[in-house]
Amino acid sequence: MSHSPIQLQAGSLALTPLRGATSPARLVTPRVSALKGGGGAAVQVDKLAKRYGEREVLRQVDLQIAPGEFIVIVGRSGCGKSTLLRLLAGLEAPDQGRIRLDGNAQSRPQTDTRLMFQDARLLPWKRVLDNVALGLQGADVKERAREALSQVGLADRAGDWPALLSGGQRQRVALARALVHTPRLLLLDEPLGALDALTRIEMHRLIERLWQRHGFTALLVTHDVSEAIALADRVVLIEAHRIALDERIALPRPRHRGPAFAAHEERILERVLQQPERLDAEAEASLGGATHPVRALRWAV
Amino acid sequence: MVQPGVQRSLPWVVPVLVLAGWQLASQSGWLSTRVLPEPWAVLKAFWSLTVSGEIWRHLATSSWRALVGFAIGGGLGLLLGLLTGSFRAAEMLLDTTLQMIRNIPALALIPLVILWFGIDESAKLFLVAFGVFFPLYLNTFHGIRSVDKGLIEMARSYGLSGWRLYTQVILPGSVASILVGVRFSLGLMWVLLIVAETISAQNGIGYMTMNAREFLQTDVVLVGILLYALLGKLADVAAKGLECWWLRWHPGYQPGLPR
Repeated sequence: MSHSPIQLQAGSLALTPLRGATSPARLVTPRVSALKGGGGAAVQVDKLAKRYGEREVLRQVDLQIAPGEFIVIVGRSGCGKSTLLRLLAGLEAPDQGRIRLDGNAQSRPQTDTRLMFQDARLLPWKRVLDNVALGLQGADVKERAREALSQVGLADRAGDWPALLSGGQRQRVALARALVHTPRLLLLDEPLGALDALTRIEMHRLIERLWQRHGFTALLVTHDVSEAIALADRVVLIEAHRIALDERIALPRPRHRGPAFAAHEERILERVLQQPERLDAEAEASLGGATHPVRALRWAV
Repeated sequence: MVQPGVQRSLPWVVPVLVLAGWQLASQSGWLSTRVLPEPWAVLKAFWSLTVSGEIWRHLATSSWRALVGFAIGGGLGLLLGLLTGSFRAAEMLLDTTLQMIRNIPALALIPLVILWFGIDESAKLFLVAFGVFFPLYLNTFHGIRSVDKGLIEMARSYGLSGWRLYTQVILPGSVASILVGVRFSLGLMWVLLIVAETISAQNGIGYMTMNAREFLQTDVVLVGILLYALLGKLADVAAKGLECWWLRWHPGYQPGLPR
């Protein structure tokens, strides 16, 4: 039995901390955290619709999310997946339907929902620590921000200007900024889209670890199917303004690429690309064992 | 790589060469003293004015006029720029009027200003204030309006609003643009002051040069002109210093970083 060299390489890279990153042991500090949240929020979306003028973006979207669940929304660009996230964040109001968090109607300034944007959106004129502490109030603001920073492995960059950070580091600061509010629902709007492949793998592991630790409900939007399968409890496909597929991924975590991973990826990818006639044959072939190198490459690009 | 010492002295090579050429031309008689006195004579005039204390009196008066005029005009420009930039209603109400007034050259107002204020201090202050108002107003307005909408949205979603949103996001986001306005204004400030002082004054650098012209003291005229150059440079250095401090987060203003 031989692995393809590309697979081996990807596997070993994912285990090795990258340059400038702290080791996994330091990323998750074992001491009792001041950043303990109240667990995850249950989300219920009923018959949600949104249009911008004549253009319909979302139509009749229904979605139930259990507390602490990790949902990944995939879809082609312009399918309305980001709009769904913005509606959940309260940045925009739906035209029809409703969103409920823990059974309560969503009201505008959401204190337990936090959104991570595609670009980090750090304030360039605030130092890293002050960016994390943005919007916090209370006596121990700096300590809380410092702890959130150390959870993403950037405690030593607290005094730097954001301009000095790499793209991946900026997103980690943005993640710390979201976590410091102990959100019960964390919304991630393609936060890894602009990062290089290696940094993405590192970020997947970081997000997964922090999610497991804090227990928040997570909703990630992405166009990368393998990213979806690496992280999701459920993958939701939005297509033509509505939910077209809702698939549970029951693989054990942390997830490594294997036949089952590849089978999920293949099926969802085929569905996204709308090639249903090839779906069954391909899925069976993948489940049978051999994954071919091209597929192994795909998740890194 | 260029040595740091060489790099620092490089900007002064051309001025020194010009001075040397000028001195030579004067000494050889090729350049008449009526046209341009030799640098040495200018230096001597400067020295005698310094010793007599006359120059300090003029310098103090001119600086006071410049700064007070700048404070009034610039302050108003900043305030109104913040107002129209932040509130649509204020923009609707004021911006058209201000844009119309902006197109009047400050110097065209001189006859009117003399009629209104006579030839005392307030006339000069008015001219300076009027001139520096618009660069600051326009750049402040533009700065406020061009703050990254994404950052504002982010800050709102993180619970910032009202005064906190203003001081932590909108104002810092427009500082770069406001400082551009400050630099423009500082340049204009001296131009307007010179004109105001040459028209009617009993003291100030402008008065000193006009007075010297009456007596064909070209060396004193040159001292005045050089003083203006020096003061202008000084104002610019001050503005640059402000930029370096307020924009120290900006990648373009960080020393030792590749641009």
